[in-house]
Amino acid sequence: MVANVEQYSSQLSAKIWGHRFTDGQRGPEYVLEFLNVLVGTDYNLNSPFYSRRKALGLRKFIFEGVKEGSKRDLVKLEEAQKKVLYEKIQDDEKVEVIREFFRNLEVPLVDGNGKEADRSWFARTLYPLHECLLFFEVRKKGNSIGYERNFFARGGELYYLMLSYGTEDHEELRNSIELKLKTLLRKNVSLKKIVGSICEVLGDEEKEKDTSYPLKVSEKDEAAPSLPVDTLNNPLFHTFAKELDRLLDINVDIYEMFRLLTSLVNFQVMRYIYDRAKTEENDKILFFFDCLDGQENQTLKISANTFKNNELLIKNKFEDYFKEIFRSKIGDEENVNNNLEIWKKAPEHTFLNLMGLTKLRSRRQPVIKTLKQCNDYNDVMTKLFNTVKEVVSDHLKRHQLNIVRILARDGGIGNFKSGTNYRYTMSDTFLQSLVFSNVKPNSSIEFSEFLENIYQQYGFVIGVKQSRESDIYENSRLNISYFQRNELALREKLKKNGLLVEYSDATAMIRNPYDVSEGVKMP
Amino acid sequence: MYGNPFVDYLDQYNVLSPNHAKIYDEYTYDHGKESYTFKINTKIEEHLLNLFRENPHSVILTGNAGDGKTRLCRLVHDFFSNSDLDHWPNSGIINVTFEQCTIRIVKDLSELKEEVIYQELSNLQKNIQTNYESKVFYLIAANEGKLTKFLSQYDDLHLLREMVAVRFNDYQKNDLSFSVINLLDVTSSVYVDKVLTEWNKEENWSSCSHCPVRKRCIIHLNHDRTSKEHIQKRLVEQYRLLDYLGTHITMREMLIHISYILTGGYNCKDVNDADYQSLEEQSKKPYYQNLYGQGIVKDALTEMRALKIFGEIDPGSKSISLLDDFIMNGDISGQEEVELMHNKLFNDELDMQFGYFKKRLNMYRDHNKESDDNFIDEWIYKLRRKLFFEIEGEDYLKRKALLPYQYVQDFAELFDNPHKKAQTRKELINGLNRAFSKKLVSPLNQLHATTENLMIHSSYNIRQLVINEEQARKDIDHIPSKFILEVGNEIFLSLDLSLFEYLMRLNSGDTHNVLKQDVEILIDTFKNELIRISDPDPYTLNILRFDKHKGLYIEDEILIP
Repeated sequence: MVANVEQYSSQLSAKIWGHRFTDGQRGPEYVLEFLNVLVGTDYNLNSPFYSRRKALGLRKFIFEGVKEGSKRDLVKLEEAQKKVLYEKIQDDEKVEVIREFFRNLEVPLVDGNGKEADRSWFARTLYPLHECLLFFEVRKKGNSIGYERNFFARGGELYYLMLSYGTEDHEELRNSIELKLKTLLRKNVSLKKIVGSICEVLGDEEKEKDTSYPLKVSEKDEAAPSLPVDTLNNPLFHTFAKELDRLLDINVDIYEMFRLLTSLVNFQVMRYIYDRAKTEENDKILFFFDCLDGQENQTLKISANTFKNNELLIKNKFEDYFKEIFRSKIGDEENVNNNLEIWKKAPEHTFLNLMGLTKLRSRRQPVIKTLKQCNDYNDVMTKLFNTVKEVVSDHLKRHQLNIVRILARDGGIGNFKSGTNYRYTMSDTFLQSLVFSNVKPNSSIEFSEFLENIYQQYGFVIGVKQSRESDIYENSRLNISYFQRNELALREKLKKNGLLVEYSDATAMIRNPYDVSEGVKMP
Repeated sequence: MYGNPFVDYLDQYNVLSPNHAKIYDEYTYDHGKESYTFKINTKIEEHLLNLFRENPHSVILTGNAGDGKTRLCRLVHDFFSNSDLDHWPNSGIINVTFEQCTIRIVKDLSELKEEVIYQELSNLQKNIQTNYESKVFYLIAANEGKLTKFLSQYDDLHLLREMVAVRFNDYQKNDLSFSVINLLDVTSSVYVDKVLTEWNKEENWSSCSHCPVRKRCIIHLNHDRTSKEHIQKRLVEQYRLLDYLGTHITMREMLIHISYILTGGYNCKDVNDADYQSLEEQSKKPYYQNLYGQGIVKDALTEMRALKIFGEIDPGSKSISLLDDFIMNGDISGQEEVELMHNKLFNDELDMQFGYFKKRLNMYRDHNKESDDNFIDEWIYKLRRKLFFEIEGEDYLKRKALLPYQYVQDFAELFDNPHKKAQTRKELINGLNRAFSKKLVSPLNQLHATTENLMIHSSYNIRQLVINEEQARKDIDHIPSKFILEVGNEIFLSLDLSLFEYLMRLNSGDTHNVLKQDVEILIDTFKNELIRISDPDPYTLNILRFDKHKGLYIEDEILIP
């Protein structure tokens, strides 16, 4: 039985997108969770379960002095443990040096205003310079510390599933991704040794590694992540895998790669969410990118409009689903007519219970009020339906749309200026990951071809040609020069990022300047 | 009216003049008319002729419009056919046969139809593969961008594509089967000296000696000044700066630019007919203003790309208090030498508006009651430029401080100077360490392959770092203009003036730097390469850490316990 609105809408969302995405999870945490999962399967993209790691001693050591829980306690390494550690390293100053080094590796999370997120040590993370720096979110449970899913909310697990399904019949691609990530996460061996010996001293033994977390399971399992059954063969997943594989081709170390991965993964998850929100198979999702950094109001507006349109898709999809569920719960006309009087008499135990809205508190009043005014099936399907929908969609607005906004912001795909709405923009990192996942290392394609490719593939609209084709130009009623300038601005941006070479004759080629990373060259 | 025919000749290069089109080979080639012609000898001409004579093989010439590709095609044609080409055939392709060989000359690849391009390039690829069984050698003039784009569109041209790409990246890969010569690699400063010397020859200007308006002729003033040895040298120096920055100016752009430096866009008639208002206008076009395109009409700017680039190294926009003080108060400094210098520089010639500047200066200093006097704005930029070119000697006034690059001198001194190279290594290492870590790292003797996360992947001793000088080229006019930083015989970083300046500024403690955007990618790629080849020691962890006493980041080592 559904307990409250939150669960109500999250259940809806699970049906559409899978179990589950939340707005608590930040962009980098999708990647971190995914990498945790992957390491927990020993780099196997087809595993029914995975193991997690707490590394409590190590984390207490690194984050000593950081807040613990909401009560403003501070985390402290136990004296006995401290003593052993100092004895082992034999130099107090060195201990500090080591701590400082690791603290410097913390993944920063800032909000839209640049303010740092206020996180307990339970949920602080490090750049995965080596797989040994990966650990799962935890939380105090009674006297012990157990796993938690506030920020590692399953987005990473779902991404794992997408890659897994996307490589189902593509063994070579699957192996390639596994191998490349393994090479990347195991390169810095010196870290492994030092982290290993700290963990050993502090008692983070292997035994805390659980091996029983369900992952890719065929039967229904509440504890497992799941994608909706009708999307398992979504062609997007294969595309995601190919893009990821190509990005991993370039020769940069994990520190740099992590930024690019965050951008790519966030973008992919966002595309998945949009894709599932389509009501018609050939709905076209358009992203109009404002490449002028919000300097031009008109461009900003078009961009914000496409963002809003895409949010509308999500809302509509929700409503569609909600309607179905509402219908199935109240039954047919006869059923309504039979029950309406009973519902009206004691709404709390009948109607609210049926709809799963018993925990609504103050917001149940409008529902009850509307219910009492209903006289027939028609009233129920219009007035009552709308009231209940409003109550539920309130929550939806706050959380479900937020997921996409967070992905947009943390992935560098969208943002807002104060006083304006969300719009699509491209951060340098996003631009890089876009080029690297579409252009092979050490090769190039022409700028106009690139624009056309990203239009066809993703629905990105930037320049003149695509604005015309997509009717954005027509509908905007703007002078074509706005689109020209937008296109030129992107070109400038690419140039500044070393991704575009301009020749004297106005030919411009987009270029991936990196070599293929050597350790993982496929035959 | 007196008129100098040579000034008419220069007028052809004036982009706003009706005579302008004459300098385009494609349009006219006029032998009949008796006119001044001159030729700059270029290495590429000789190289091409030798190549076809001795080891004939196919050549692709690339470069911008104006680099002289068409002219070179014509030259090869005329030489081997022993006849002058009247006009290009409409097809744009012409065959020349000599000693059983045929040179098939394609004057401009991008003018041709797609099918034709494909046909010719396929033939070229076939001929190379068959080692020229057919004895047909190509000489193709093309544009780098269009060529690359075209080749990347056809899979069956991939052999040619690779051959072209390899040679683009490194001209030393040119061999006896196929050459790609990129005229963008020509260092323009080589020709500037030649052109100035040639154009300023006394015989070109002899007809001026009787001209009654000579004293108020800005063209003559420019000729006169730029003939002076130290000024000519400094003009060449400005062009040399573009070489250092890796910016290429085409031959045509350079000729247009130098002609403009001399004439300011005027001809003899303009000077003769000038009333006092026009004369005032003309007085504002001395060579040091023209070089940077001061006061030029907007339409001309699009044609003169050189001006845009020179705008970035304009010495007029930088205020150095010592130099500005000399300009404003040098004549009353109390030091006889300085006063003499000032009087000599700011005299009563045409560019000083016949002494009007001096008068204005006195007025400004003695009677400056009105605050809206724009005297300074009107003159100071111009006079800084004048000072930059005309002041004699480098000792008293450090004129080079007016350049936006502080380390040009050091950069220039590195050429041919092993001692200086060895000294500079340490400074570059420090700059690189700071660029990699984005931290103020204390000066160290080792180059550390690190990132913002401060983990050192590997370190290179100062001796493993070599500054190599670029080689002078034999096939085209290219003098060494940059360096290659070599690390452990494996990784290379091309070091031009902007990167050098950036690293030297980091080394001296600067943190924010406008050059960042230009160089960051280069440094990042270099860093990633270093990290890639690193072979970390599993038993020690080397890091950079903050040292509270020094206030800088230092190297530290953590032994695995």
